[in-house]
Amino acid sequence: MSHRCQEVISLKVIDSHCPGCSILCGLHIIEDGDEIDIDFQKYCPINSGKLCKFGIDLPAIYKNCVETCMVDGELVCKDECISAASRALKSWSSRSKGKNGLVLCLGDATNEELLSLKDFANALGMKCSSGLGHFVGNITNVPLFHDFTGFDIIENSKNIILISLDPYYQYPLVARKLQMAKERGSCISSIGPEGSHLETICENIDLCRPNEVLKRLRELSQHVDRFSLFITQLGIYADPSIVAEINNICSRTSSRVKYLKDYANSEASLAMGFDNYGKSIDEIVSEMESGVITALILVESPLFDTYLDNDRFMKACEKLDTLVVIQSSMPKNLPSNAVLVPLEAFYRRKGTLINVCGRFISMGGDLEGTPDVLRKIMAGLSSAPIGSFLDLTKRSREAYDSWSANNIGYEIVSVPEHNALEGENIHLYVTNPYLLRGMGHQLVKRVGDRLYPEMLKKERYVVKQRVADGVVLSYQRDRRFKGIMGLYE
Amino acid sequence: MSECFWGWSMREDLRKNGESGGFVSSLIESLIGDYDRVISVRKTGTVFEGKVVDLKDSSDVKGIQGALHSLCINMSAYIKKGMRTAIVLKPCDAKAVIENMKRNHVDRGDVLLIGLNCGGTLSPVNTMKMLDVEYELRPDEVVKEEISKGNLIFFTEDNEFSKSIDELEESGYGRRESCRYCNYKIPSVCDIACGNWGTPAGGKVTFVEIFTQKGEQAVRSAVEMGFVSVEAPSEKLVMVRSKINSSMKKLARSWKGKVLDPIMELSPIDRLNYITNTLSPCIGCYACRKACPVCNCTGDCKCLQMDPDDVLPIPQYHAVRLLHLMESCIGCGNCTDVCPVDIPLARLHQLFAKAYEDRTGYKPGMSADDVPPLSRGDIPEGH
Repeated sequence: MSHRCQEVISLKVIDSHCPGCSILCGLHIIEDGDEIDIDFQKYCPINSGKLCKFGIDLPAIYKNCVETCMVDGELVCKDECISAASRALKSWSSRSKGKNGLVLCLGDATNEELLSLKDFANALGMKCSSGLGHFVGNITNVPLFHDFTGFDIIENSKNIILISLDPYYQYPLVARKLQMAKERGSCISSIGPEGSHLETICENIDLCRPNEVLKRLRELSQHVDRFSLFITQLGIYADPSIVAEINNICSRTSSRVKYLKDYANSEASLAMGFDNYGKSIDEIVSEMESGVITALILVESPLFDTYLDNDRFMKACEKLDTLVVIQSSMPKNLPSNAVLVPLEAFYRRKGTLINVCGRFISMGGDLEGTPDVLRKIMAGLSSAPIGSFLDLTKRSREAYDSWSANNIGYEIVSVPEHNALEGENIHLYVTNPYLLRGMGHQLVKRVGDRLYPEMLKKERYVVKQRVADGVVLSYQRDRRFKGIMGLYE
Repeated sequence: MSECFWGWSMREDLRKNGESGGFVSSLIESLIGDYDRVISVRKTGTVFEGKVVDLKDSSDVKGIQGALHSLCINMSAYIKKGMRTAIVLKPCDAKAVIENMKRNHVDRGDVLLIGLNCGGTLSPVNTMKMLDVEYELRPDEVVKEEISKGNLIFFTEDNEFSKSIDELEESGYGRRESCRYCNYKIPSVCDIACGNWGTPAGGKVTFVEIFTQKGEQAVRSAVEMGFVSVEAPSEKLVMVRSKINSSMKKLARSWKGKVLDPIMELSPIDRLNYITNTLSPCIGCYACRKACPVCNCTGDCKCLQMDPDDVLPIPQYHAVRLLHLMESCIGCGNCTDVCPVDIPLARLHQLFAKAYEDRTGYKPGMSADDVPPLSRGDIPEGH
């Protein structure tokens, strides 16, 4: 028999879910010494083991974990950065009269983390935002987060309308369901910009620019009935007027809508009562610029790299009195006034999540993540402590049960003014989660930071069209970007 | 030269609760400490859920489920070069390991391959749906599943439910497509092959066939240390095992004819159209490459070396893979399983591999010493 090696590298296989979007596809993460890899979790009922490019590329994200702690641009040890965060928040708290502090977490956090952040914000007199609060706050009664029909509704709908969605590229798992629906005789239509392979599933493709979608949607509404299903994306750059219009059509015709969301636990922000600020990202940035918001705790929200007007966001952050960044992936850009507190990678954290179909899901990690960080920061403050993890899990289950028992119907709402923004206030309406999340596709990797400004020059590739929220930037498939890819070779 | 035994665990709990007398569980328990890694699969929920584990001590052995038909894990991916590894695997995994030996990703001397006979695996999510529709069972009611005498059997705590695999497969359930036409059921490339074919009805024993000296040494050592016990099998049941293997192979040939022949019989242009149409929904996620157990290239892989000005990078990617895998696809079906847009990739790869095998007689995954004809340059004239 052989001799066992002196130093045995440990192999660990962790049950996990992809943080790429709120579908939360199941997968295994393999830790093999310093190496991280994925394996397919074929028994997961959400995705049957299938993953899109983002899931396949997850090891690259997880390898880019935050290993350094920073305070005001200087490298420090973890204890020092926790102390600095504590001191900064204490100082802000004592002189914050009339000023707002905000905890912003777009979604890559467990229910337990969201609840602990909420408790933390309450203790400091801060508000919380998921970046989707303006939908909850301004368009009341829209069941944006509350459709438990699962994806079977796609297979079983007779009439499916995709709104500004490129399912093969953005949500391949949904594309599969659309294929199945087509095989069962569903009629699938698309309204919006060109998408990949739309012709293979859609009987009707209404190609139009984003500012024309609302008009087309209204024209279409007379052909919609209770067997119809809208599918579209609800992200931080989604157009509120289109969301409201779809809701109203659903209310009038008894049709349904399925909103797909960009971040892992976006679905939970309402269930956990997290978002109590009711502002869009654009409004939040404006308030940072004007000094209404003076303190920001940014949790797992890599907006320094992925907010599409990076410079504006960086400058707005630099105006803040206090900026604490709690993040697991290393940002490429970081404002000089930030306190960077490292967080364990998503897959290493334990806790629960809610996916876009309303499934309550457990993570397979063994670390607490944010509650642990917040407890340490709290130690330097004289505020109420964060509860035990067990207590947070219990509360998240209760919140989920209460939320899922409360059926929200579609009621007519007022449609916000369309195409209203002028001047410098331009956002990018992004229909692609890879770009929104700042990684993934080989084109994005190749052109890196130069992508946006260079693409804007190429009208052929980028439909630069002002809509309610801004500009369309889409179509990242290789063949259509060969010109740009060639440019950077 | 192989040698056959019936074997069983000497641990009462494993003999009683383990598969076929718990022989495999106790064998791998005996190997802990002798290998850097002892790798198997552990059930984590129902019999349709599990993950790979690296066993570190005897307490890890409980719950090991080497033969879960519904997991379809690519076990060969868990062998790391330079790590001495004992691993429990299916026949297709074993063939993948052999292919990786050819590519110098695995050293034969570093691995002990404990193979499990396999009549085919099941897609877990499809099987859970089948349980509901065809068996009227919930996944959490099932304590064991088995393929025997052409039937797929699910056991609950106090009952068993059996249905004809043929009928299930005609209804779109049953084994994965690649398993239906796989004709490699007893993993003879392993050091040891274990299974329940050729065991007495109701007997808590495993049929063990030993193929190598290393395999013999492992079993002998496990016997000497008191982990397992063995005895000679009855000649009659050895014959039964052989007959089961033959009938499974016959069934596989029939399925291969049903699935692949209609495509092969198309005219060349229609076949090309079939292939390009089948590949057309590809979204370029490269999950098939990631899941492929014999595709181990890193960044310099030819299938990704596309001219940026080429307007057809995805068809190029598949064309390169179809050609490369023609002489190395071991038909595991992982590529089909993971494709997010449900392209039957394994069928396409097997189409090419079958044509290649018909012309050259070369079968991948059967011996680490075999050199593919294209590599040795002796393709028969006219091909």
